[in-house]
Amino acid sequence: MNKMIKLKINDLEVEVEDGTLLIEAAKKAGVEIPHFCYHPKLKPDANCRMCIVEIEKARKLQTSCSTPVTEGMVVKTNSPEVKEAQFGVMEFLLGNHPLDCPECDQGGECQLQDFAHENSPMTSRFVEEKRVFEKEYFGPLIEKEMNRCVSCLRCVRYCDEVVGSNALGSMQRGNMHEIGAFAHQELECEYCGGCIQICPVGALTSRLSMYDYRTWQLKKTETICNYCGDGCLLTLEGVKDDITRVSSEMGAGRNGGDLCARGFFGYGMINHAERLSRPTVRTKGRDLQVTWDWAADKTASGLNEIKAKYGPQAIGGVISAHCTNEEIYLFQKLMRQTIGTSHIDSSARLGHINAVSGLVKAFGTTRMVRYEDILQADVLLVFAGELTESNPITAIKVKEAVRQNKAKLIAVDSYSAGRETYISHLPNLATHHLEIRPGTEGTAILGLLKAVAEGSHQTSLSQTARDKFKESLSSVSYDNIEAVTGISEKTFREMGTLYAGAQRGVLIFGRAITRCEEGYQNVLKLADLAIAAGQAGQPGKGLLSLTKENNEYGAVEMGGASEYLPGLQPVGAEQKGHTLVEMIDAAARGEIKALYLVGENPFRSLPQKKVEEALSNLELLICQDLFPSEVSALAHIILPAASYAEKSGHFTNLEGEVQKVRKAIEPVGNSKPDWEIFSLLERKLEAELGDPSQSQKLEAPSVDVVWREIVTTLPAAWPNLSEEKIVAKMTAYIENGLRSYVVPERAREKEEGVFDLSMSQVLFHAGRMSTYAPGLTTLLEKAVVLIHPDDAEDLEIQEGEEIELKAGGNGSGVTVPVKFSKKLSVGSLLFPEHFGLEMQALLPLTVDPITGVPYGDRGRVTLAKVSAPVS
Amino acid sequence: MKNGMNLIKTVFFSEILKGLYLTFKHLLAQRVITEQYPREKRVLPDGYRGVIVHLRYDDNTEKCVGCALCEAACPSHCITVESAEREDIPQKRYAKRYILDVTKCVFCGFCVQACPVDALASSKEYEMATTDKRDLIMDKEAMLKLGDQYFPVRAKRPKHSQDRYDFFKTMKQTEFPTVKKGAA
Ligand code: SF4
Ligand code: SF4
Ligand code: SF4
Ligand code: SF4
Ligand code: SF4
Ligand code: FES
Repeated sequence: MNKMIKLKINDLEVEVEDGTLLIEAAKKAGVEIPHFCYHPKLKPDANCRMCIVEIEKARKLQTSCSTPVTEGMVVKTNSPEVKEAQFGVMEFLLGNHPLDCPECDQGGECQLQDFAHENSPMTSRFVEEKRVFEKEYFGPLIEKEMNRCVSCLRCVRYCDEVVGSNALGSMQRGNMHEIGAFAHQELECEYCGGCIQICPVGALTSRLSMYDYRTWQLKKTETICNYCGDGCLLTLEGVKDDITRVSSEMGAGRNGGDLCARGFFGYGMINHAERLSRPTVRTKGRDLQVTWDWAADKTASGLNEIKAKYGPQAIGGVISAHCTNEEIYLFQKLMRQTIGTSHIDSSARLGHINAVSGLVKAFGTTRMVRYEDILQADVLLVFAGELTESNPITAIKVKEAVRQNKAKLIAVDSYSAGRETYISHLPNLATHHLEIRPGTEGTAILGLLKAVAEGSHQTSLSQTARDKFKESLSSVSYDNIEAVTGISEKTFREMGTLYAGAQRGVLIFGRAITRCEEGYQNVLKLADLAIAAGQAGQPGKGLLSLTKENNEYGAVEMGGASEYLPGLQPVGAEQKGHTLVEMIDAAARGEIKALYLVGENPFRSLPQKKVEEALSNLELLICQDLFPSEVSALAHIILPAASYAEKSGHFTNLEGEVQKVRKAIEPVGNSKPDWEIFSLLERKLEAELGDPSQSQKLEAPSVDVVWREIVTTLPAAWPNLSEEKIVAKMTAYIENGLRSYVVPERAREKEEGVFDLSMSQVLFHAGRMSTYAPGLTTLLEKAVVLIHPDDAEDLEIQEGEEIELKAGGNGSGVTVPVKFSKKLSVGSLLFPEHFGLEMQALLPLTVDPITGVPYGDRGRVTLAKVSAPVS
Repeated sequence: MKNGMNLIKTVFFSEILKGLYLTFKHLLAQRVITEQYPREKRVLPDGYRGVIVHLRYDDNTEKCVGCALCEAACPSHCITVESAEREDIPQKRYAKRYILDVTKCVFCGFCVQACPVDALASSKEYEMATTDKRDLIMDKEAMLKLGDQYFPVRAKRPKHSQDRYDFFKTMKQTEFPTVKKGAA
C-alpha cells in the first residue's frame, strides 16, 4: 500500500495514493476534467492540452493528466483562467471540425460533443476554410474519417502499448496531422477494434456497423464472448432484436476491456440468415417443419423406443463446449439419469481433456494460474507459438508481462521468429525463443526437465524425489534430444536454470501439447517439469492450459466427459462410457443406435468417410445446432438451438473463472436455448415412462434454478482447492508415480519436397461458427494454405496461386491457394482449420490410448503447383 | 340593493334577452360566416402545422441525412428511420427507409425543430381523410412528393456539404469496401 496524500481540488478535500495523477484524483473527488488524450489504460502523453488546471504556486497552468499529486496541493479546475485556456483549446479543435454530428456514428457518445457543450465559447473567431483530407480507406472493417480527428494519439498508443501490433502511425504535422497505416497502405493489423473503442471522437468507427444505429437506440447487454477460452466480458448492443455492435467497458471483466477481432467483429453470426430456425422432423426423405411440442414428443418416443429395444447403452450423446455450464450439466443428467446411458462426451475431448486428466492426476486441480499471475510472473514458459491467434487476450497479458513488467519469456514452438514476421507474433516477443522441429514438443520438454533435474537450484522437493527424476532421465541423452528437436544442450541448460530460478514461474501450454500426439503424456511431463523446477504448488506459480472453445473448462467440470461426473468426480472404470471416437466406432459397428449431437460435428474432427458411415448406420440421429451442417443433412430430427446472445447461463474461462452469460435478444426464429430443449425433453421422457407428476410440470425451470442445483450438487471444495491439498496431491504424485522417459530414436530427416502440414487456428476465426460472421469472413474469406516465402520461391509459387497437396504422394489431392507468411518455419505449411473438410483427409489420425483424444492436426504432404496466378 | 337588481334581472330574463339579441344580430346581419368546404377553402395562417413532409435541395437531392434525431424527438413515436450508407456515394448517410405514421402524429412539429438539416417541414396539408388507415402510413417518397407540392422553392446545399458531395461523387464505386450483415 502506497502512502496516502491529501490535496484540495476546488475546495474539496481528497485523499489518494501517492503517484496518482491529478486527473484521477479529481475524478475521485467527483470533479470531471475535460480531456482527450488521457486514458486510464495508456501512459500519459499530455498532447491535447485540454485538461489544464491551475495549481497553487505553479507559475503556469498544468496538464492534470501528466501531473502526479503532491501533499497539500491546492488545485482549481474551474477558475476563469482555466476556463479561458480550455475555451482556447476547444476553439482550435473545433476550428477544423466538420459539422458532421448528425451523420457521425459517434454522435451521442462523443467526448468532443460532450466537452464542447460544457467548455466551448459557442462562437468561433475562425473564418478560414476547414481542412479536408482526401478519403483513405483503412481496410474493410475500420472507417477512417480524418476530418474528425482531434490528434490525441490514443489509437496509436493503444495499438503500441496494449496490443503491441504497432499498426498505426502519426503522419504530417499541424493542421494536416493524420493517423494512418505505414506509407498510406491499407491497414494490416489484428483488427481487435481497440482503436475504434478508444477514439474519443468519430474519427475511427466500425465500418461493419456503419450507420446501422444511433447510440441512443442501442440496448446493451453485458455477456461473455463465445469464441475462445479467454472469456472476455463484452457488451452486445442491438437495435431491437438485431445485434449491431459490440463493445467492452474499459477495465471491466477478465479482459479489462480489451477484445480481439473475433469478439469485436464476430457478432454477425447471431442474426445470420442461415440460422436453423424451425424444429424439423425427417420422415421418408421429407422434411416436416413441426412445432416444438411435436418435435420433443418425436425425440422422446424415438429415444424410448431405442431404449426399449436395445437398452440404454445403445444411446450416446455429444455436446459442444460452446454451451453453457447449465446446459452441459442438464445434458449429462438427461443422458446419465433419465436415459441411463454412460456414453456422454463433449468437444473438450478434442484436446482439453488431456490437460484436465494430466493436471488433475498431478495436482488435483486445474485452477492454478490466473491472469494476474501471468502479469506478476518473472519467467513465462510458453508452449504455444500461436498464442496471439488462439487466445488473444492471454497473449495481451503475456505481452504486458514482458513489455511492462520485464518478465522473461521462453517460447518453445515450431514457428520462426524474426522482424519480418508480423509484430505481435509471440516468438518475436520472446526473450528466448526455442524453435523446435514440428511435433517434437515432448522431447523438448524432456530436454528442459533433464536440465532442471540435474541443475543445482533450491526446491522444496525431497532428495529422493530429485534422485528419482535424475535417475529416470539418465538414459535420456542430449545428443538424442538435439537430433530430434534441433536445440542444443547448452540452450536447454540455460533455459532450465532460468525457469527453475524464477521467483514466480508460469507455464502456459496450448494446442501443440493438448491437441497433438502424445498429448496426455506431454501434459504429465510438463507437470513433472513444473514440479521439478519448484514452480507449482505455491501462489503465483503453476500451469495454465489454453482452451480453444469458450467453455471447454466448464464442459469437463459439469460432467460432459465419459470419465467425469460433475465436479470432476471420476466415474468407476466399469461404468465408464464411450468417448467421442469410441461412440463413432460403436455406431459403425451397430452397437450404438441413437446419437444425440448437440452443436458437435464429428465430421470436423474425425475421418469423414467413417463418420458418414457411422451416422448413416444409426436408427435415430438428433442434431441440435445453430447452422445446417453435414450432421443436419443426415439427421432424423433437427432441433434449432439459440446462440449465446439468446440465453442466460455461465461459461467457465481458461483460468477457471465462472462468468455470467446474459440474454441479449429473444431467440432467433423459432429456436430455443439448449437448456430449455433439454428440460423439455426430460419432462417428455419421464412422462412417457409413466411418471405422471412430470407431465404436470409444464413450465421449464429457470436457469437460476439449474445453477443452484449445480452448485449444491458439486463437491464442497469446488471450485478451488486449497494450497495444502495441491501440495499433498503433488507430493503423492511424485512419490508414487513411475516415470519412464524415452526419446524417439531417430530424428525425422528432412525429405526433399515433403512438408509438415498442420491445422491451426487463425486470429480471425474460431471453429466453424465464425465463418458465418461477415465481419470475419472479410478478413479471411476462404481456405488458404500458409507457406513460408522462401519455400514458395524454391517452388516458384506466387501468392494466390493454387497448389495441390497430397499425402504420401498418392491418392487424391486437395487444391488450395497459397498465402505467404513468415511466421512459419521453412518446410512447414499451415492450414486454418475453419474451412473445408478435405484437408483433414490428408492427415493421419491417431487416438490417445489413455484419454481417447483424436489427434489429426499434423501430417506430412507433398505439394505441386497447379495453375497460373489468379489475379 | 345589489340583491334587488339581481332579482329584477332574473324575473325579466335579462340574460336570455341578451343572448337572443346576439342571435338575432347575427341572423339579420348580411355576412355569411359558414365556409362552403370543400368548395371553398380557408386561408391557413403561416405556421400552421399540417402533415410533416420531406424537402429537397435545389439539385433535386433529398435533404435528409438519416440521423434519426426526429425519431428521438417525436413524442408519439410515429417516426421510424433506418439509415444506411449510400451505395453510390461512399460515406454518405441517408435514410434507407423513413416511415411516418400519420395516424399517431400529434402535429407538434418537434421533429421539424429537431432536424439538423431542415429536411422536414410542416405542410399545410390537412385533408387526410381516408377509408383505409394504411394510406396514412407514409414513406419517404410520399413525404417528398407532398413536400414538392407545398415547398416548390428549394434551398441550396450548403457549401461544405456540396464540396464533400462532389468529392465523393468522383470516387469510383470499387474503391470503397462495403461489408454488411447477411452478405456472407
Ligand atoms: S466526432 Fe463527435 S463532434 Fe465530431 S462529428 Fe462526430 S459526433 Fe460530432
Ligand atoms: S483517430 Fe481518434 S484516437 Fe486516433 S488520434 Fe484521431 S481522435 Fe485520437
Ligand atoms: S475470441 Fe477470445 S480473446 Fe477474442 S474477444 Fe472472444 S473471448 Fe476474448
Ligand atoms: S409532428 Fe410531432 S408527433 Fe408528428 S411526427 Fe413530428 S414529432 Fe412526431
Ligand atoms: S428528417 Fe432530419 S432529423 Fe429526421 S432523420 Fe432526416 S435529417 Fe435526421
Ligand atoms: S488529457 Fe491531458 S493533455 Fe490531453
